[in-house]
Amino acid sequence: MIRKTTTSSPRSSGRHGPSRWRGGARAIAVCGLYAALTTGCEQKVLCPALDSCGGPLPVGDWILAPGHPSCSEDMYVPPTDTRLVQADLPPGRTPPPEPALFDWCLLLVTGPGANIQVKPPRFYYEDGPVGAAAVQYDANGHFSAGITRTGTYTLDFPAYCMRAFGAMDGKPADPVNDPNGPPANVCKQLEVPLRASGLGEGSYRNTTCEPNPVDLGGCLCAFDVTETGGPSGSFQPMDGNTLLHLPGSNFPQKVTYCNKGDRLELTGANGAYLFDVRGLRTFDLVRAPPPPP
Amino acid sequence: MKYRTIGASAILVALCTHARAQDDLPSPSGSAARVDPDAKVKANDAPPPPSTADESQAPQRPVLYGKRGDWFIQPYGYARLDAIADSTQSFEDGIQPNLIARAGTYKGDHQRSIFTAKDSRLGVFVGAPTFEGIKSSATIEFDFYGLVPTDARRSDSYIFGPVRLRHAFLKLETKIVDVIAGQYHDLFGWGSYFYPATVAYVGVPGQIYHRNAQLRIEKKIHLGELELMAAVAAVRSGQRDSGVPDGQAGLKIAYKGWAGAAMSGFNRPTVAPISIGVSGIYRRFEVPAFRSEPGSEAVKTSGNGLAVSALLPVIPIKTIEDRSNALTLTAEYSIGTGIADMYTGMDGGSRFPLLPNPSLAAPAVQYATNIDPGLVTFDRTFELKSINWKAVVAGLQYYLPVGGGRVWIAGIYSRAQSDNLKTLTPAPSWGGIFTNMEYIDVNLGIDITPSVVLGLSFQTVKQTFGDVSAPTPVFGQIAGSTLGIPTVAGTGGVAASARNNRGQVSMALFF
Repeated sequence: MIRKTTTSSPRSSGRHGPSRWRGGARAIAVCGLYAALTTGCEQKVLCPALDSCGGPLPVGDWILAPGHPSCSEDMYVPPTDTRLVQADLPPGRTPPPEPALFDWCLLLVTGPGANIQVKPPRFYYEDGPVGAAAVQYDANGHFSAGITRTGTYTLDFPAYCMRAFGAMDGKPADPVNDPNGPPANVCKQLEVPLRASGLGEGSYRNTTCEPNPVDLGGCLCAFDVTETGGPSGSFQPMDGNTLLHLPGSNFPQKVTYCNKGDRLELTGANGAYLFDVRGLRTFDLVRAPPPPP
Repeated sequence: MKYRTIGASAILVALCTHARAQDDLPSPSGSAARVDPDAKVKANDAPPPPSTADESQAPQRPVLYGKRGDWFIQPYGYARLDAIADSTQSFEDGIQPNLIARAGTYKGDHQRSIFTAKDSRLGVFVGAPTFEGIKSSATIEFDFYGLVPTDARRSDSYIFGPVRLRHAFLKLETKIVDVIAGQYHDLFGWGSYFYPATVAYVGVPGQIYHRNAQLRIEKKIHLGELELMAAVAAVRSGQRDSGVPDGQAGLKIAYKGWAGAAMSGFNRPTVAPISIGVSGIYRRFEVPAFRSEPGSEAVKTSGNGLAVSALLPVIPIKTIEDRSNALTLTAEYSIGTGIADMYTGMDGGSRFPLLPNPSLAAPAVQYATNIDPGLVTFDRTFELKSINWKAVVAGLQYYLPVGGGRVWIAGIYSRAQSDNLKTLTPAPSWGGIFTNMEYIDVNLGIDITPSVVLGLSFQTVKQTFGDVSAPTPVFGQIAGSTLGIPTVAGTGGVAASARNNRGQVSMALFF
């Protein structure tokens, strides 16, 4: 049975009617509380903005020196999904692949041939800190920035990846230069081509591979990252404390600065990343020493 | 095998004959009332009968049995508005366990405001006349969180509010057992008996909150004011292609002599007895072998879970009309493997890994999954493993001595953790999973009228991801064998995390 109910009209709420001001006060209180609950609750930024005092144009060479840090946000950029080659959409009438974790083998493909590495892995590392940077502003309105991410990282290849496709221990580690060398395990066999692959990509050096003590048959390969890049182009002052970088091949970038003579603080303006490097917020720079005569 | 088939056919024939015989049962009025499945259609298609004495009488649908007045039909539900402000742009409406945007990203650094009425609900309860001692009833309940087309505009997704089926079940109550058949709260976690009070959307992170199609058998035993309840259920499987339904079972003890005010989510309080419930789930998984062309090769594993739930009226009450000073604690602890779907929307970011590509095919070979993400995955040895989760949810609700308890405050602390999700995830994907989620809310509710409630809530939730931030760098140095920074993946820094804070104002009229 549907119960008969009565609804109340605004006029029938006589209980609250006489104290209309009280209802209004309640509404204001609710709105105030709502505002209080919802403001000032943003996540704490990892890289607060540096000083933006402005000053004379920062013409000269600047570097990060020990104790003068850069600051990058704690970003995570997942590696590219390899299942869709150079396309965002799958071929017609086929559904897009379901999201997936990355490959346990880090895209490495091993094989039974003389060269154990059939396809090199992705030299993946996350959030490489900026270990060195050099920024130059010249009096002609040109700038350049060299930003170097550094670190030593490890690639972890499970036993399955090392051995499931035919690779075996007991072959020479460097079949090209030393075909009669002593037999080596698959990790040492991988080390030589992996080192060459890292150098080929230009940024990954000193690769060494050893058996993984906690995954029998697997390998751990360490490598050093020295990845340098950065924009260059022209710049122009916007106001007393902001520079506009015009890289030409990228969108304009605004930077606030504080030139203290022997020290330069740069911050991406209005939340933008500094020099458009993902995650990079601030540079605290000092004058570069003059080049040796 | 042949004998089994013949036997099964004989049983089916016998059952059908029995069913036909039941259809031929005499109606309460004494005449044979064989149910003709087309009768309703015929009745509806037939021209309206010539008007009799009462010209204003509305056309009626014939009742299946009994008198019209013996059928009890009651709509119920609520109309609700939620005004929400989030400190990040991570969530849709409810705080679901999807990844929170990190500080330093656009979505992590900017707010979101949501106004929605989609959590309004409409249900119908139908009680059929008791038939030979069997009480039967049905419930169908909807809200407006149906799936939205992926290309729908944001405005349309909120304003159209596609209907979503929440409950659709029948219940038979006999002197021996009760039977529930249809979509209802899972028995695992004991459903709404132990839900905490909150203005926030339930389930909150870590709370077992799931509905499923099921066939459940319950048995109640009353010993004075003590009620023992045991139940078993065959439930829609967590993986359809496992071929086997999930099994759930539970035991609940309640003492009606000690009762308090309890409210499930943002709802109306009821008088609930002190209770404790234990429940479990067992399920099976079967997926294709982890290769591009598995043939018919399958790999299997299983999942299971245990939940302990409690409702403790710290300050009991006698009647719901006077719930002043009522204080009630609810708590739930759950642990299991392959049960992520029991927590609303939970998967922790887990997926299957990409297949290795030894043939160097382009595009790369794909693994065809047949299971929802977050339950199982393949580990570094390429064996199928289920993902572990454990969670605790504790809630407290207190009714102030204002107007008989018309003003209430409530709070929840919850936490969900996985101890093997990270080891089941390749390192480059660690930033895309979380292994710990912690949630706290505080709420204030005011009954403007007995059916209209205003709620204010603050909710904060933090996720700890699988990756770690880079360790403090040595500035101005280039990496090398001596100057390098030892940054082995997963070590050196602190665990990356993100947090979302939410303010919510909700208003609802319950009917």
